[in-house]
Amino acid sequence: MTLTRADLHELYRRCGPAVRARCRAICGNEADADEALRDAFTRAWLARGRFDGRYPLAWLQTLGRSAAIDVIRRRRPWADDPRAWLDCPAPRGAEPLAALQAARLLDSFKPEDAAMLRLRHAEGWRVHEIAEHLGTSERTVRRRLERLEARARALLGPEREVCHAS
Amino acid sequence: MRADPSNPVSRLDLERWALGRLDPAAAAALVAQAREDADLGARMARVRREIEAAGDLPPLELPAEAPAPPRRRWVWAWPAFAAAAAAVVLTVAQPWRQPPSEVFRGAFDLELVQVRLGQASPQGALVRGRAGDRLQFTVVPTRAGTLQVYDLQDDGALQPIGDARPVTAGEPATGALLLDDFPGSERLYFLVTDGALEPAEVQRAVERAHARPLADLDHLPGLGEGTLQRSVLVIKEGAP
Repeated sequence: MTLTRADLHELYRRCGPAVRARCRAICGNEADADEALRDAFTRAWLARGRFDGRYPLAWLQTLGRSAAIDVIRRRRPWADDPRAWLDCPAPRGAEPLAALQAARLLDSFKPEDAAMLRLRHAEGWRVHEIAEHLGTSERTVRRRLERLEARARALLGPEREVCHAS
Repeated sequence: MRADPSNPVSRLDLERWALGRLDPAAAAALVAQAREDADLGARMARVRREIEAAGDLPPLELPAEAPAPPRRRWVWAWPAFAAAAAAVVLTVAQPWRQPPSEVFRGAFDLELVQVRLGQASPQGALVRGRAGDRLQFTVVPTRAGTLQVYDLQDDGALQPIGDARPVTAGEPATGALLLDDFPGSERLYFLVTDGALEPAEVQRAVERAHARPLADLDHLPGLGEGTLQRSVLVIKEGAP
């Protein structure tokens, strides 16, 4: 099947809120989420000839994931307030990592890894949800989160519990 | 019925439920399962809140369609420079006033500037272009190697852009190209490899990933360990 323009508008109406919600979870703000949403559906339109008609929400969420990662790669939404972006309060009793240092730390991560940290710590996603979203195994997600959290310990703070079992 | 902790309900299924896209029987089963599984109930409530919080969607604008002219080839902006630049960094003929750029981070830095009617604008991973636009790029690789640029059109046509050239770690390599009037979308791949890749090798990488839409093919698989790559998706706007 090849989607028509009307078909995609209908998909946008029905599935757009869920795609936007995930883009918002990755980007951390409405403006970047909307840009990712727009890019995702533009990509869907361009790839409409290859869509087989099955599982439209899964297809759109895959496109949304790529679009959101691209947006945070070029926008660096954590630049102004990395703690707020990760929803991390300043650690008690310890010298907080300066905002500029924290931003540079996040800059040094791959955007996919920064997104993983955000989904885990700011959005409270479970490991299996992150694995499903990224199309990888739970074991891989746990390992990557452990490494990322070790690197970001000064940013996350000692009170922030390291990767849960679930 | 109790939830199987080793096989949790997927987020996709929760989203389908929240959007009303599950069939009635499956939705009823999910709700029944949630009555016995507080964790599942909490997840369902969270997903529903997140989707409801998405609120009214902004208007959707899709690229305009254009009739398909005969496929043309890419044109180097400065063909006179191309041959001489095979072994040296290709630079722009005149220095342009550099606007603040958006810089990709990752395997190597890639800055892209779109110039149209004398106006320059920095670009990200998705470029909305027209025939005649000039795309100026600056690559700063993290290691030495050979830089090649390939263009993959959504009709499957693949071609190298310009000649392969050596690059040095930390040293910017610049170049430019002109968009032709191919109406479909295309993806530009910037590759840094140990040695120049033959077009056939890149073609095989494309064929390995042929099932993925161009819009999602931001990396070409199987180009060899150590290959650094970034890509940009170009979609064409309607005729001016």
